[in-house]
Amino acid sequence: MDDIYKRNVEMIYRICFMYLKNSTDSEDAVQSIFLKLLKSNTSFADPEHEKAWLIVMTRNYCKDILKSWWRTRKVELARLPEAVWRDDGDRSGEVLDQLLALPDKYKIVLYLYYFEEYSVREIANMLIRKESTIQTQLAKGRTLMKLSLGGHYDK
Amino acid sequence: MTNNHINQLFDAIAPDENQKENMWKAIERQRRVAHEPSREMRGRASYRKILISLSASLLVLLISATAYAAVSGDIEKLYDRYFNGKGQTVNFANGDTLHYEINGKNTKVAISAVNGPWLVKKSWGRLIVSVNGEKINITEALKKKGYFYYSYRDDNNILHRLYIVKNAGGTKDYAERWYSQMEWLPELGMSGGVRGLSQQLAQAIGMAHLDEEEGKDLDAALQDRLAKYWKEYGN
Repeated sequence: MDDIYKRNVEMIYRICFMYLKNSTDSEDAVQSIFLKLLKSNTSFADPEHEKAWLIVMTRNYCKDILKSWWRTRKVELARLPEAVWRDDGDRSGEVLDQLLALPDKYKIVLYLYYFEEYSVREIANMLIRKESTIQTQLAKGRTLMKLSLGGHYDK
Repeated sequence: MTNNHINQLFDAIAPDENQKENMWKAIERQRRVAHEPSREMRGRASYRKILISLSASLLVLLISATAYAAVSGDIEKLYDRYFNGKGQTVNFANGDTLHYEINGKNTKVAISAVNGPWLVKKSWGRLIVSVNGEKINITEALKKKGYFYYSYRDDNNILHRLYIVKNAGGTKDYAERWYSQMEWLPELGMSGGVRGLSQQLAQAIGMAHLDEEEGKDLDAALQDRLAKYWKEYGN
């Protein structure tokens, strides 16, 4: 379990943060997800299987949390991590805020495609959606981010 | 990984080493609580009643540095079983400490003189309790049930149960906040880490634990005992 935690904790935290938008709830969610994994006694064929399982589990868990919350969607900006930029550091908080403000369906697709480097087909299988849907969401997410970043990203 | 701005953003959303360590510790603790059988003392209800009385007395004396209680030899053995040797210090989540020593027929209990902080903080309208590296949103629990509890075992394998419970709000009730804080050691019948707690509320929680040991579900027992307490001591 220790190894699974070390391999995946950052990824799970990132996904939780994208959905829940604050560190307190993200930390709680990470703990709950690993405890669920422990209780489930799931065995994985390999680290890729483990990773994909955790992505789906985390996404579903966060969506359930959001459904049940009475919470407002207000985000405490002071608690957002500060993104490090090479050329325009002053805009980091603002841009991160823009990313978090994107609809969840775009954020998760952008994250899986860019950061985790999954293909459109793999994302479609993981999220149980059509490839065309993923492509559309990716394009829409890119457009929205492009507007936020003022063109400062590489396709 | 493509080194672009989007990835820099995602990269920035990462827990630091402290967060990772604290989350792992919390997972380990919860796993330990879930898997370790409770060292229950069934069939010792009479002892437990004495222990609850002892604890209730201690609650009154929490502000003093030391409390003394004479107890029977059987209870000495009971404490001796759970503490290492003839004495041990227990650390509560808010930093309070309790030191217990058996000295002949006298049992000496020393409680830290300084009250530790509240473990509950308000954040964006939510009540967040911090315990053992975990931050738990208890807003809904207090709103719906009027109480929240959290169990864990410390490094000496002593079971702790942290309670945050809505006060009755009447004149006999201490009202530093609209809820009270108490950490109970179910296997030892002792408590600490207290903030804003009235003796009436402490007794209600203690009696719920006694009910549990007699076979009642803890939540059912708490709901029953607390309902009576709220009714009797409310405005």
